[in-house]
Amino acid sequence: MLSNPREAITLKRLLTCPKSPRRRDLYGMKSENKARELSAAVPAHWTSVRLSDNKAVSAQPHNGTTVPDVSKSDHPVHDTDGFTEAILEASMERPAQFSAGLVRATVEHFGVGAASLYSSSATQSLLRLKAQHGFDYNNYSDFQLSRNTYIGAAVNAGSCQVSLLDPSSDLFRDKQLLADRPDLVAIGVVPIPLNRIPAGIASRDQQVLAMGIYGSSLDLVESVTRAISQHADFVARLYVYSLSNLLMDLRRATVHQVAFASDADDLADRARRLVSDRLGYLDADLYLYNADSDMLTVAGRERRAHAERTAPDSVDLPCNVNYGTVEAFKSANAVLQLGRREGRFRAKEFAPAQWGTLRNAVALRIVAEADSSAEALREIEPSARVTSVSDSVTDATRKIVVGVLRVLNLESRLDGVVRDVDPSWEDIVLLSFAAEMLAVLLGQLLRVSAAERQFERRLHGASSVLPSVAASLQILARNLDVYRIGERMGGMKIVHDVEDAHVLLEDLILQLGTFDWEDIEPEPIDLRTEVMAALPQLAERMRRARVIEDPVRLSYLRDSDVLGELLVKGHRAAVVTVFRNLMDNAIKYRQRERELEIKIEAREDIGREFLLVTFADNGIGIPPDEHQLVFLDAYRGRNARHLWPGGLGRGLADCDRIMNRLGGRISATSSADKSAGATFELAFRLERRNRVPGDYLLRR
Amino acid sequence: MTIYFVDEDKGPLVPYRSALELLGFEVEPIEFADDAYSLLSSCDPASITLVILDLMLAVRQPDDRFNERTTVNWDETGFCLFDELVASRPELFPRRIFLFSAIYKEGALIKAQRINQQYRVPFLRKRTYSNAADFGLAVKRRLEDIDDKQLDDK
Repeated sequence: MLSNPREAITLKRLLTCPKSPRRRDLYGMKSENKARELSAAVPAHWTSVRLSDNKAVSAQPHNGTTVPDVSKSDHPVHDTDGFTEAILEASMERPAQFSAGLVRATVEHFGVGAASLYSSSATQSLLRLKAQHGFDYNNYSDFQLSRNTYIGAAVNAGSCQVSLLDPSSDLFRDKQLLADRPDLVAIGVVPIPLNRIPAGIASRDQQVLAMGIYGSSLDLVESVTRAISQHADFVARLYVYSLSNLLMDLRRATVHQVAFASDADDLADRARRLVSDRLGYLDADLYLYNADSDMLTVAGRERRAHAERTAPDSVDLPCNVNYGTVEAFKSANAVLQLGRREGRFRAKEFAPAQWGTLRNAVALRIVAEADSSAEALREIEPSARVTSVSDSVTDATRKIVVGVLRVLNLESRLDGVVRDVDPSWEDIVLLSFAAEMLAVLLGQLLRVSAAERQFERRLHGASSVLPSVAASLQILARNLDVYRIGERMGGMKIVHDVEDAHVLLEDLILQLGTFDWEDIEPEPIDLRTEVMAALPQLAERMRRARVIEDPVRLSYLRDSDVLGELLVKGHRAAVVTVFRNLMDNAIKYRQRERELEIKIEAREDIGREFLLVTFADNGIGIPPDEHQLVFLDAYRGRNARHLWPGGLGRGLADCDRIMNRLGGRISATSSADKSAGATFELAFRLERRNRVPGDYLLRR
Repeated sequence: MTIYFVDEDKGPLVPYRSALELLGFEVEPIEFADDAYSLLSSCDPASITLVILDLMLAVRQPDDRFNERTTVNWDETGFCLFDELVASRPELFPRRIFLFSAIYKEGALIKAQRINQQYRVPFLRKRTYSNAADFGLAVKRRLEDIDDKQLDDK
């Protein structure tokens, strides 16, 4: 009965080989008559043909009658796209039946298993959809979905087959199709939002196929695994389509390769928790998606080794630069050449080995911009003290941020000039991955910090900042695609966010740095040049860190003769911390109905032992009976608690500790005017004069 | 349709706010508990999509409702606001409340967990949500749950 397997195979090839010109002809048809003509070429009595090892091996009629064994067919099928179709249903007289038959035959062939018709090709999925909509070739263009918007996913659930498509697609109007058509036993094409895969839709021994895009992948995993977890013998195949074109397949057994990106790390961790903890197995193979050839291949060790052998500069390439997409490979090589030419290529030291190809390429680029960051990273050791680590991380992050801004041609922002940005795709990716690098740095800082006992008592304060900084960077990293920038937030908003994260980070570093003040050695410093000059920036940073919209009006004796001619016993970072804490208090306890003003003045005391600096704000002030109490560790002023309940009462205590360590003192004073706010007097012990006393006196 | 974010420390909220905005929500920060109560107890209920509530909140001006005694020495201002909102608008709250806080004291934690169990109000700790994208998705899921519940009610 199966009279012409060649025709069946030919038709099969038309449907599965993206390179086939005849397939293009098929999809390019605009005439329904043409489609009918094609389907008419397939004998109506053919039902299904099973292919194995590229040969037709058996066939089965739709009505259950016996068909000849065609296992010895001499008509090989040369699939070139890597997605060999395993079955062909050809029992149709009309195109719609043909298409529907394909789906049904697939389900039947695999029993309760997978449908191999599901490939990464959007067009094949469209074919199925059109089967439900009358297979109208004339409307083919309406179903054009780009690779970026297409989310191919499917759930084979018993007799039900579910496709998950782009939630924004109009195709979603048909998501109730299955519910409305209980007669669709074998076939149902139901688009469902990625995050709403209904729990329980799948049953035992079935397989879930799902493909998500970067950013939604975790959500997808959680949804799918929630459904999966109800069935102990379920197999989960979770494909993640990331920015770097990596597809990851999580399957049963052991984890082979999951750590290709922080997203993949998260994904693996969560999948492990959600799936493995319950099911006891998890396997992750890495799949590579080549955009040029539209091919999906497994990146096993052999392939990796092959790539390393054939890479032109393999000796200098980090191991996992050698495989991945063509674009990433080219990008990595271009960056490599850049780094080598400029003599500061540090990729091997800088890029964590588990990072993916494009990620490494980005890392290299960033290193080229801020290569000393690599040194800073290497200096971070578990045994390091917080202060030293903080300095390293601050330095590294600042350089990376500067490097990123330079990549975006945004360095002018550093001078306070804001202009619109129209970043290229490459720039966006660079910024995205640089942000993830910062997140890595933060994680290291947190680990090192936590190792110090002193950190523990302030963990609460720091823990509210660190997640926010990391969150900022992750938001940046996960949402810097052109669609979201263009449609929702705007490029500058993203840049502002990462800059704000940087501000928070620097503030955090400053806080962490106070842990080690007992160890500091006082040294002569010039308050005017080493501290006062930095106060406007510090005030601005504190304003941004607290998201205060009104400006902070800061007045101080910028060119004071007194400041200029006296050196005090101090330590720059420690003294900056004192001013930082006072400014932070001024901001937190400001009076909301008026702009915050801070006045800083300096004079020499009568005995000429100290330089006296007064710091006055116009906030809520400190009651006189608390002037000494506020310097006690963990003491909270009674009129301050309701304005900042999360405070720890340690800022002023730190100031007191630092000033004592420097041989000076700090005190609070009151003004008769209750609206005058708080005033602090800082007494810095004089170290020496820049000029002789006589000269100083004469000039006065 | 607005998500109100009640928290006095606006700096660390920036990424979480961005995460919600990326999901298409309009986010309105409120710094003080008394301001939040004034607004949320009287505004158009249709305008309140969700209230994300910190549990240690600032108060602009202590009064009969929010004072040292009712807020347990300012440690539980968020709980106080929660109770006030539930009492004033039971048709909206606590269903449209989402607790998001860095509280760490045992008593407050137990209280938050009790609310979570009694009212089925999500309680997320800031420390565990270093992933702002996940935070956004958690909020989104909460809203979907609320919508589903409304459909069930109808």
